[in-house]
Amino acid sequence: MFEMLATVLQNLVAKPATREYPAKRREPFPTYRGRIESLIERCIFCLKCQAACPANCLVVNRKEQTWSVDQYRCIVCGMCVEVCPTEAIVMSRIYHGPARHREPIVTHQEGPIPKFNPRAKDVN
Amino acid sequence: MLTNVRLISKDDLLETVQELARDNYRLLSITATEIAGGFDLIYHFAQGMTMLNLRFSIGYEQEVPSITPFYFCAFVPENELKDFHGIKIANLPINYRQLFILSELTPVKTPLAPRAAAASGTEVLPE
Amino acid sequence: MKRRTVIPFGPQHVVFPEPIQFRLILEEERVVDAIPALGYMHRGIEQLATVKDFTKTLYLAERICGICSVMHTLAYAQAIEELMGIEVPPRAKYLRTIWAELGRLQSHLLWMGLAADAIGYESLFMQTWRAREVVLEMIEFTEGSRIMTGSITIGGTKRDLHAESLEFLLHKLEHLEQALNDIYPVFSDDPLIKQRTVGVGLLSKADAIKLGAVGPTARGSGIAEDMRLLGYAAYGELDFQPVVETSCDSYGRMLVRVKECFQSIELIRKAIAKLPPGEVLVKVKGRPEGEVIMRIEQPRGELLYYLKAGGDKSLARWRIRTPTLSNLPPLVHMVKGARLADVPLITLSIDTCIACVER
Ligand code: SF4
Ligand code: SF4
Repeated sequence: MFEMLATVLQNLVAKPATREYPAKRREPFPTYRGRIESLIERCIFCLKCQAACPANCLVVNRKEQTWSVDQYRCIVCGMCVEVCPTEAIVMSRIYHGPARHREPIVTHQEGPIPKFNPRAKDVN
Repeated sequence: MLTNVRLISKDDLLETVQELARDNYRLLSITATEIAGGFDLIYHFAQGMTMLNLRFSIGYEQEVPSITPFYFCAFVPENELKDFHGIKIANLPINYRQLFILSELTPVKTPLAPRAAAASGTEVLPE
Repeated sequence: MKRRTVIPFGPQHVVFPEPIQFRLILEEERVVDAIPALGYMHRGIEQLATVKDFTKTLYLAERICGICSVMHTLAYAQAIEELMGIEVPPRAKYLRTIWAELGRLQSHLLWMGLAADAIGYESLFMQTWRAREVVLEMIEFTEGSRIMTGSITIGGTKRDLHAESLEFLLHKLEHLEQALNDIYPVFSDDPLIKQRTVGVGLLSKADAIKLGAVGPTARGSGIAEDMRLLGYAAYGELDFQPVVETSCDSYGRMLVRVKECFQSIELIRKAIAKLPPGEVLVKVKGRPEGEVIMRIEQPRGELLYYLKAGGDKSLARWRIRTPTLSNLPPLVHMVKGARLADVPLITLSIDTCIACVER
């Protein structure tokens, strides 16, 4: 009958197990997969990421030199990060927050498209 | 790989299933795949860990006898066959009339049998 | 003849996290028949797989069900590997086992919390979910995400566990075991819980076989059937016995789940102790061809995949038979003769996952 009683009494005096979320946040673990971000100045517009994305949320436009991602469609799988030959996509540790409108985030590259240098990628 | 397959004919189905029911086989599921001119049906059974698959194929217009009298649980996959492939099941005791999972409002009637749908000229799969 | 009433149970009901309807036919308080009505969330995954690239379908498999996401990817990856003749490195097999067991732990703890909540035992519900948070932290630390982990891929795993993560796991497992030791006697002995579960939702062994019950539903009725005994991933090398209860009621099914949590902890510890060194991923080239059946033990029971591929970039057929689909006929059988007030708990006792059913 009283299996829970000890626990209940303990919880009465112990400090809460939950966090007051928006005020206090736990640091994500270093291995956490957060939202993807583009280092656009490295992009060579090879369209590999667009082809590999299972959620079809990337739109890469070579002519206009834009790279856009729909963060609310992205499933944070990391395929695009894996296939990118120039490591122009990175995964940050923060997740994408709420927003009022669902709009793709467009990044625009200035200047000429960089030449692809295979040695720029780590050989690990 | 697909092992333990026993090829039977449609007419032997009820007899074989009756035997399996007597030997305490469990019915796992029924799978249909659309092939040229009809369907390929696999009935998955298991006794303990070992599987037994009964396999036969039928034409578009042929009817398959229902095995729900022997295995009550067969009403779920059999209604699915009706829904997704438009396969005709004879004497189905619990008949949802193609409304098991799909509804009247579903634009495509037999989504997993596109060739059958195209041949009858009524529904065409959207892209 | 007594007057009969039809009561629609669901699609929106407090015990269901997801929409399904049962039309309950009542004679006074007793249920005499139940008709399940599905189709509130059909997504057409089987059909989508026939047009999508087979490597991308992996992520689709993960999204069939949020709670068993690891197991679905595991089943899909294993099926494709078998079709293409890929041998997965042993370390990857062990990692897959560890992650699958973590997934089972969080699913069972989720269910235990929901069951406690349905009974009306709020403090137990919170205690259980507090323990679940520990598991979710383990998953997040080792796999990078809490629910949709995406760490298993065709040919191995995407991540490796380093010494630091293994230590973290072992440390947290100890915490978890302590918490479970506190929770276990409540589930097994509390009179409140016993009153609501003992003798409710009876399913005899013979009926369980005939109606095709799987997973904890079958094991709660005395059938020692656990697909992990097939020895996929690293289960063949870890010694274990399926948890079986013979009381054939909701209580038995509940105890199976609670005891399986301890079993999972044991399995993870064994897998960590035996973890072989080496690579975790092999390169995959080519396209799958042939037919394969893959059976896997999910938290809710046996999952059956039938895959057919014709050497194209997408599959020709992907049949998904999820455990809840198999447990629906036993459920219909169980609610017959039950009181209306017991129906929510009986429904919960098979651990319904409607997203799985409708795919
Ligand atoms: S993380 Fe995955 S879903 Fe998101 S953009 Fe990259 S490939 Fe697409
Ligand atoms: S794969 Fe990398 S380089 Fe290629 S288009 Fe995408 S971001 Fe640019």
